[in-house]
This record gives sequence, C-alpha cells and structure tokens, in this order.
Amino acid sequence: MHEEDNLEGLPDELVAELEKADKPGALITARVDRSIANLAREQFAARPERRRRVARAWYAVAATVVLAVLVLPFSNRLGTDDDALYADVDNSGQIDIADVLTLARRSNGKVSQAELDAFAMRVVALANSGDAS
Amino acid sequence: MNRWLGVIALVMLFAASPALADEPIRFASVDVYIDAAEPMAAWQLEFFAVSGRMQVVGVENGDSTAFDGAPYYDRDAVENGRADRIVVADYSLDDESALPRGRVRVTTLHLVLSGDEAPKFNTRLIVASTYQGKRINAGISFEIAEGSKQ
Repeated sequence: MHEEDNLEGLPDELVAELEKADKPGALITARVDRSIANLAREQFAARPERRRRVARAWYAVAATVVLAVLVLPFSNRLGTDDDALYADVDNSGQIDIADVLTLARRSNGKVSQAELDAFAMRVVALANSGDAS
Repeated sequence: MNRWLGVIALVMLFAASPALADEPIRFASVDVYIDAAEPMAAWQLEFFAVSGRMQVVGVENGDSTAFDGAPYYDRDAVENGRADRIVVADYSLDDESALPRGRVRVTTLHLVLSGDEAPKFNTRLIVASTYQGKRINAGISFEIAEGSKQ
C-alpha cells in the first residue's frame, strides 16, 4: 500500500501538518552517543557511593548502640559504688580504717584526699558498722 | 576549741529536742584511751551503752599531734540525734617517730544521758595498726566525767 493512498480523504491542512512532522529525526553522532553514555555511567557510578555513605551512617549508629549497651552497666557501677576503691585493701578480712591508711600510703597521691575521706566516712558510718559489732 | 564546739552542740541539742526536755537529762564526757605497744598510725573503735539511754552529741580529737584533726565519725547521725552508739576512727601519715605509742587519749565523746537508769558503757577496739598497716594488739579503756544535771 502506497503512502499517498493513506492520505486520501484527509483535509489538506492536516496533510500539510503531517508532512511537516514527517521529517527525519536529528542525527545522533558518535560523539553525542559517547557523551550520553558517559553521563549515564557517571549517574550509575554515583548511586553505590551514596548507598555506601548511608550504610556507613547506619553502621555508626549501630556501633554506638552496641557500645552504649556494653559500657553503660560498667559505668553505672563505677559511678554509684566504687567497690574497687572501698575494699579490703590490706586483705585483713574486714574493711576498716587500716585499709584507708594502706590505700593512702600505696597510692602515692593518686587517690585524692576527698576520696580517702569518703572511704573513712564509709568505714565509720553507723549504718555500715552495725553487723561488725 | 573542740571542747567549746562540743558544748555548743550539747546546748543546741537540748534546745532542739522536746523529747529530751521532758525528762531529766545529764551530760557526760568520756575520754577513750588506746594503749599500743608500737607506734600507732591508725585506730578505730566503737563506743556504746549496754544499759541506759545515751546519745553522742560531740566528738573531739585526742592528745596526739599525729591525730590533730577531728577524727572520722558518722556526723550525720550525731547531728540528727541518732547516735546511740558511735564508731570513731583516724589515721596518720606522719613519720613513725611522730606516732604515739603507749597509753594515749584518742578521743573524747560528749554524751547526753536520759532516763532514770544509770547507763553502763562499753567500748571495743576494732583495729589499731602501725604505719605499715600491721595490726597491733592494743588495749582500750575509757574514763567518764559526769556533767551537771538538767
């Protein structure tokens, strides 16, 4: 079937418009093709990097949560009751003022006077010494 | 100075305690001594009533210059009238030559006695040690100086 036959019966204006639109498309040269390919490659190359960045952020959040879970119980114990400091330093079997003396002598100033006073005050606290009598 | 602080504490306690004001009370001070054969760098004792009613209202240091500051005791219990017994302790980082040996007054306790029953006291040496931390076998005793009746 010839093309001319298809246009028969159509209004002249429409035929003129169709003929105007029926021009060959713009020629895509090899250079344009390479440019488009390069742009596409850059676009796809950028996507994994962005994903990696997002993944790294999530790893950081997860690591923070894990650290918090692991460290908090120990930090709470140190903050409320430093048993390592208020202990039977001289291994006598009881905690008393001799432990404070021994700690003061051994620490060479590393334990502050305030900490030594707190230890001594704990030793003489009536609430703590009831079972010692 | 410390004696005056003790007297002031007694007066304040008497003024602030209606329960004690309702019944006859009297004051007493107790000198506590430790007799150590070796130079003593740390000591800790407990003083309590085995009968009668008493409250510790003040604690003074003793005679030795090695223990010239106020000893350690439960200040909160004393200041709030809860010290029906007391644990007193102190330590010294002085040289061995400056530490006391023999019988030495380590503290004086100021007491408020109440009730009709004459109180009986007892004391217990919890620990006495040398500057190296070695435990000393030491004796402990006390002397009472009864004060005025109110």
